[in-house]
Amino acid sequence: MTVITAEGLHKTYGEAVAVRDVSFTVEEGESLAVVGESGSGKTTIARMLLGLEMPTGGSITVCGRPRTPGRVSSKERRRRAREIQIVFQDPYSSLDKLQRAGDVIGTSLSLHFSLTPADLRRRTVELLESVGLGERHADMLPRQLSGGQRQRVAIARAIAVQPRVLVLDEAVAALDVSIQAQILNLLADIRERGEISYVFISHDLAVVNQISDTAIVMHRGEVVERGPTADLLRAPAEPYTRALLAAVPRPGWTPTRRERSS
Amino acid sequence: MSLLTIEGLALAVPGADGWKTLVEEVDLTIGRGEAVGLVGESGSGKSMTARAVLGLTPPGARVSGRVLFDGAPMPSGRALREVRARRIAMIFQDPRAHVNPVRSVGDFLTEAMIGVLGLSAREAGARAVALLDEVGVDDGARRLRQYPHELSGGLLQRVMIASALAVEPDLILADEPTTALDVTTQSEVMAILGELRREHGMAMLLITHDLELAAATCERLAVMYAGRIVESQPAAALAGRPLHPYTSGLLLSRPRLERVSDRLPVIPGRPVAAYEADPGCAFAPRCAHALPACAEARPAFDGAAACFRSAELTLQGDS
Repeated sequence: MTVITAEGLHKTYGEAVAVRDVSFTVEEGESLAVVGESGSGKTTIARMLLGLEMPTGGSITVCGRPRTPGRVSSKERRRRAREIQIVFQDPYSSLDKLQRAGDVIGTSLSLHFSLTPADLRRRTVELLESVGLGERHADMLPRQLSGGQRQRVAIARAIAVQPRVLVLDEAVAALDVSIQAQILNLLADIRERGEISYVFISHDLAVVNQISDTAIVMHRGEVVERGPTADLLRAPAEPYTRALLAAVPRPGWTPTRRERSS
Repeated sequence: MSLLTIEGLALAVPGADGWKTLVEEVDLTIGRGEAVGLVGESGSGKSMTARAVLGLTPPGARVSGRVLFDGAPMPSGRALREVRARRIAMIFQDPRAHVNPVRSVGDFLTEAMIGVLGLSAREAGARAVALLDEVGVDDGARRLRQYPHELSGGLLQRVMIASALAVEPDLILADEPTTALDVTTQSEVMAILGELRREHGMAMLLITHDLELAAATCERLAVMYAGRIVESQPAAALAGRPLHPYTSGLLLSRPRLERVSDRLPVIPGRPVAAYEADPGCAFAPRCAHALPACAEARPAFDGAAACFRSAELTLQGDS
C-alpha cells in the first residue's frame, strides 16, 4: 500500500524556486532517503509533507487522502498528525527546555488518545523503554539529558501517536559518531516492529546506505536521480550523484577540487 | 626538531562545585610541514587542546603543562599576539562567528597584511585577490567589496583560509573547518588546505570528529577520549590496525558506503568529559574488552596507546 504520493511538488519563495516538479511515492514499510546538500530543497520537502509549508503547486496524498491546502479544523490537524510525525536535526532546540521528558511524550499521547492518568503513565514509560530510555528519564529536563538521549525522547514523542510515516530531517547529523550508530540501530528496530515508513532526509550517503531502501537525489530543488539505494550508490548515473559520492571521505580517499567557485 | 610540542597539558575550568577538568596529560608533537589529526567526540577536549596552544582558553581556566613552539616556550602578552599574527593561524568551524559582519571582505583580508607585514593598501589588495584565487575564489576584486552576509558558508570559509594564509604561517590550527560545509565543499576545502600545505610547507593540526576525514588527509592521528590522548599512530596504521578499543569502536560504528550491516556495531553508553570520568580507564565502562583492573587504575599513554590490553588485543580496523 502506498502511504505517500507526492506529485509535481513545487515551492517558490518570491522569485526563488526551492522545489521544482518533485514527485515520489512511499510504500508501507519503505524507507525513502531524500539526499542532497544545503539548498537542495530536501528540508522544504519535509516541511511540506508535515504541512508546515504549503506547496505552491502539485499535490500530496497521504494514506489515500489528499492534503488539501488552506485552513483545516483542529480535529483534521490531529488526524493528519497521526499519519505523519517528524524528528528534527537538533535535539537541543527541538525540545522545550522547561518540559520534562515524560511530559513531552505524555502531551503527545493525551492530545491524540483519551487515556486514564495511570494508562498515560504506563504508556509513557513503555515508549521511553522502546527507545532505550527508562522510567527514571521521565522526570528529567532536556538539560539533564545528553544529545543522544534527547534525540531518543524526540523519537519517542514522534512514535507515540503510532504514525504511518516518520520524517527524519537530518535526525542523526548532529550526534556523535558512537551515538549516531545507536540511533540508527534504534530506527532499524522501530521499523522491524511495525508498519512504519521513513522519509529520511540526509546529506550523509553512508548513513543513507544504512537506513534506506530507495533514494532520491536532489540538486537545486530538482530530483536528479532516483532508484534503489544500493544501485544508486554503486552505479550512479548522474554526474551530480557521482560528485557527491566522490566527496565522501573513506580509506584511500583524496580530497579534490571540483570546480571554481562563483 | 618538532615545530610544536605540547607536554603534560592540563586544563580545568571553574564549575559550580569546584574545578572541572577538560584536558589532562596531553602530549602531542607536530613536525614542520606535518599534518596531524586530533580526533574525538564532544567533550573529548580536542578543541580545548588546540585553543590552549594559542592561549584562547575560557575565562578563569587553570592551564598547566608546557607548549613549545619552534624550540621556545610559547610566549604571553604582546609576543603571543605576534605569534598569533604571523606564525600560527586558526580556522574555526563557523566562519560567520569569527568574522566582523560590518567590515568588508577586503578590510578583513588586508588588515593583517597592512598591520603585520607592512604592505601598502594597494599591495595588500592585490595580494588579497591573489590569495582568493589560490583558494579557488574567482572575481576577487568584487569579493573584496562584499560583506560576509553576501557570501555562502563555503565561500566564507575559503575567505577565512585565505586570511590565515595571508601571513604565510608555519602552522594552521583547523578546528572542524569543514563540519558546517556540504560534502562536496568539504572535499574542496580539504584539497585546498592540502595543496597550500605542500606548496608553503605549512604544518596543520586538524581537529575533527570525523576519523575517516582525518585518516584521509593527515599523516598522523591522535584520538582523544575524556580529555586524554588514548591513541596516536601514523594515519594508515591507526585506521587499519587500531591499538585502542575506542578507536576500533569509532571506526566500526560508522555506517559504510560499501556495505550495509543489519545492525551497526555500537559503543554502548555516551562519551564523557574528563571531569565525569571514573577513576580507572575513562573508557572502561563502555569497553567490550575491559577487565576488572581497567576500572581501578588509569592506563598511561605509552606513545602509541593508553590501554592495559593493547599488546594482547587484536582490534578490527576499517578494512
